[in-house]
Amino acid sequence: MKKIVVPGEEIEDENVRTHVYRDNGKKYSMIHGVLYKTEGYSKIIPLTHRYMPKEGDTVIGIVESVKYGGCIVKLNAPYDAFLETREDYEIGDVVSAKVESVSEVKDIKLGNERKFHGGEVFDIDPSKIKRIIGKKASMVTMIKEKTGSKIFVGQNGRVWVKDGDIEKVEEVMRKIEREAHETGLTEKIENYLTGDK
Amino acid sequence: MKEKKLMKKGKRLDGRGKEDLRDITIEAGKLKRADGSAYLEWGGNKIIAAVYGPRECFPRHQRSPYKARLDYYYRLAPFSVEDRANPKPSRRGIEISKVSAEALSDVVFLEYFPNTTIDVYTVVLQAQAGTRCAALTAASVALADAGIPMKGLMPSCAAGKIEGEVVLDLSKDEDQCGEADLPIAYLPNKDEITLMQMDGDMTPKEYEEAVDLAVEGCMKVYEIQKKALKEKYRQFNEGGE
Repeated sequence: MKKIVVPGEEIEDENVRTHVYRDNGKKYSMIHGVLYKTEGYSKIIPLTHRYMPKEGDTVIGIVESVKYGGCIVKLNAPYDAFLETREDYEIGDVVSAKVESVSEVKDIKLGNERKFHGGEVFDIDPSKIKRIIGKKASMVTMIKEKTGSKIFVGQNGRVWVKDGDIEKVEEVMRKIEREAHETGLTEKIENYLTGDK
Repeated sequence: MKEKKLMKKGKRLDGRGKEDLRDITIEAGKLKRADGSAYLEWGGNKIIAAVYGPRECFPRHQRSPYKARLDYYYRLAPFSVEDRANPKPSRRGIEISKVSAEALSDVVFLEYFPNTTIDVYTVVLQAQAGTRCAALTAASVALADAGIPMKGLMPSCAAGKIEGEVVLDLSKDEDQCGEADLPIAYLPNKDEITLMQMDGDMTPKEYEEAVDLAVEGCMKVYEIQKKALKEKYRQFNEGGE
């Protein structure tokens, strides 16, 4: 079962633990999201949110400034991250990296970096990233096959695309972003890509 | 001898009863570039609200490692009132921005985003009394639309006194010729009043009556706010799977 909830709506389900707060023994939703309910398992998924860096995420960033011993990277998040590296980077370079640590005042350190050469980057809503990747990466693999592009999806809502039909990839991802809350999406997108809508 | 004008046979000038609101419509997610937005029409008021952030806080000395800062901008568009409104921030605009920011700061979980700012912009495109309440109502929908964690939606509504009677949601003539105006913002699930201002005179009894009436009005606005947010994803098939 699923249901749209708004901030302040009372949640009676005991299993929901994220995106809720307690007050006077009652539970309320904190965000505008969808409450999914299956047997013994329920959760609230936000319909939209800003990306908050989390340890272990793989993200795509853009180098903002180069310092001694590393560079500052923009992550499409409220906070900038620091990438410690000995390699030469220039302002505007696109890198993928892993979030190594996030301190309590949100000092973010990156590692395991890889530089992208060429290609295009665009931003999408971070809450829709799971839909773009799909179950066991089914959606993104399908898009790669159909368009012949190289695609890399960062957890922070950034997508890097190179070769193939880049415009088509962006168009499809915007469609997924718009229709992420609907069911049977992979099938729909497959039909959309092969042409019979 | 003063002539009675604002009330006739228990009805007001625009045909409303004492406890009726003007027509309200809210649409969430109107603006593409903003992180969250809402458009509101409340009688003759037309207001657009946009939310950006949380983003890095500048200037640096204003950031706090404990919580985010919430900035609220209330502006009257130059064409919103009868004479041209000077676009520079007025004394009134700055005051409304301040009290509204304080009201919203009680509602948003600011401690989740240390060292950041959340910007809430409201622009009154057309004004017809009760704009601070209307702007706050729109702003709270826009904040929810931006995916910012909140204690709840915060409706806002005014009550007032015209010709000795306590009424809900004053119109322009009632606001100008009436005796008192009492805007409040209210957090329904915690039963808290987050903003209260008063203009004019009321007896303690009238004041209590007005607060109760305004809270009742807020509950009606609250339902409209909830509907606006749910309406945004209306193709969504509830209950399925």
